Amino acid sequence: MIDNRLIYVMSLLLFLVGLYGVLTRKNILKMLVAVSIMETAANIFLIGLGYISNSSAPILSESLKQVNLLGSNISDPLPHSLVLTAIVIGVGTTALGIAIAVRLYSHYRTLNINKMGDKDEL
Amino acid sequence: MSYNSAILLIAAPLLMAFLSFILGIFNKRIPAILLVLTLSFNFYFSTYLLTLVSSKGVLVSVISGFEPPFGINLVLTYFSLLLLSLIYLIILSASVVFVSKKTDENTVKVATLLFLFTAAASGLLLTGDIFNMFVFFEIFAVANISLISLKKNKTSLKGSFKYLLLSSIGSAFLLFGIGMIYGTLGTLNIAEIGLRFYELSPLTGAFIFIMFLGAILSETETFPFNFWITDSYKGARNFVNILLGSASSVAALYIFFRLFFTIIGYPINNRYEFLISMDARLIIALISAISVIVSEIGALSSKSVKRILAFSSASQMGMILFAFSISDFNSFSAALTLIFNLSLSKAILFLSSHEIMKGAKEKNIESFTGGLGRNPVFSALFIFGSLSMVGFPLTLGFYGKISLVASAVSASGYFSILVFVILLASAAELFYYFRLMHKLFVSEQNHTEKTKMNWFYAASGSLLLAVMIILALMPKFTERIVSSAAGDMMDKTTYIERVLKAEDLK
Repeated sequence: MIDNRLIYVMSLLLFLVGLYGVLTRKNILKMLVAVSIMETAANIFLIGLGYISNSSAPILSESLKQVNLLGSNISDPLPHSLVLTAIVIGVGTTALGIAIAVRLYSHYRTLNINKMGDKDEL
Repeated sequence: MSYNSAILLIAAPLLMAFLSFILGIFNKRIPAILLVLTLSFNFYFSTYLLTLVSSKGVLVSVISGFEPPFGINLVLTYFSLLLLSLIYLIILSASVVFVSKKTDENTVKVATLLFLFTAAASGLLLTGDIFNMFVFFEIFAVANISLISLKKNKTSLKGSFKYLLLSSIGSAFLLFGIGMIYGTLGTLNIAEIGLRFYELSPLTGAFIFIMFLGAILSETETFPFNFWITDSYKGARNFVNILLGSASSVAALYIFFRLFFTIIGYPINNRYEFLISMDARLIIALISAISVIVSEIGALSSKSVKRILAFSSASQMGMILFAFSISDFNSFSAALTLIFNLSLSKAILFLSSHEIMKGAKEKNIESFTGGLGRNPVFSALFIFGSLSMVGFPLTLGFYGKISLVASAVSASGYFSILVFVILLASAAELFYYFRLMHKLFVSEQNHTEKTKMNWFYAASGSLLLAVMIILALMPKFTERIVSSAAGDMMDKTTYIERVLKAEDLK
């Protein structure tokens, strides 16, 4: 049995770790990893919302032929589908980010974002 | 066609995004023609729906038989359709600019991205489901990122990477906030969340407020993100600048309104009192005032024309957010007039400045010298756009700014102090726009040969200019549109009632 509050607090901490990473890392790949950590934290939070202690998977089995939401102890399936969508989107943006990072590396020969500045910025 | 076909506004561009890839194999011109045709259809259909909504009120298009609050439904309001028509007009003018380019191997890909951009913008403005809004938010961001990186040079790649980071952080915040709402209220329908938001404890409400604020600040180019966004403008191609500066800004402002007004509903009774007494409106007003000042300082110190225009766009967004934070009927009218002014005149400015600077080695202020001799048509367009942007009398910007000031002064407390700061900053706007205009009139010593006229650019610019002139010279007509939309924005109860069809709530 897991306390749901633990999941919420841990996911918020993970989210903040990701935010800290994005703001402080200089390497663009590490920044992308930090963004992924933020997205994962949000996903864990969503999954945690659907979890009910000692519940079974929301699969329509023999014992659940008649779905009685109050009586039967199944976890909420909606957050699962939301997270599935969010994961797919996250993978898409991460792939796009890595593609851009590869191109940036071929231009600058470095992954450090501070060394990518041009002098005539303004 | 009835209002139930509103899904076509999303489905048509999505279908064309797939079709253009297949048809592009045979002829690379086909996707470009399809793009203009689809956008014309979308523009026509959205204006038709707008007339329908203006007579019948808020309409709900039920999808696959799931009545709200279940399933995903499209909600057609006067405000959302008005902004959607505006966005289609901008994308149409940007695609006319895109079509004018010679076809190459990228044409098909860019057309697909523009279709995706259109579909995502339509979905963002029409959906009545908050998770669906998140999904369209992401599609919108991916289309924007890919469009910015089209040039494949250093600045454009760096700009698109920064945009990617910002939008990813924003979407993670949004997802967390949506999760919190689902966990506490058990619904994802915007109207139902708006109805029951008061049930939440102040701490949960404040948490969701912070998460949404984190999500929206990056999208609306406000402080502290305005410095990152300007890089994206500098590296992007011309028609992408038009999309970024006008269409994306309008969509971002719509999301802001739905999240903070319809859902959180700050003007009614939301005061978050913890350690110190804090008003949600004050936070947004302060952030927007800081954003206006910082953006104007950035614009004053910039040399690159695109960067100046980007900073000016960020400062205008700050002003509109300030108008949103006052949140009464007059300030909403002011915000809408400013949205019209920002999107139309910014598109004209990006378009004409590109043509004026054509052939110049460095695209900075100096390349404007002698512009009137080289390119009189686009110089005139630029001057008109600038005058409207700074709020010269008889232009759209003038009406917007004067009603913003009037509503801020009549609102109580800190708004009348903050509007002074905003006015001071917009005086700076006068300076750098007139500096650019002055350069146009300075004659060049070396060469005064005229640049070749690009008719596609001229057609696109004059389309936008015609709309601006109609809106500016017919104040009664503009006022009617704006006040209907502002009335629609203020009337949160009707929105909720019509969506949930809750007779017992009346």
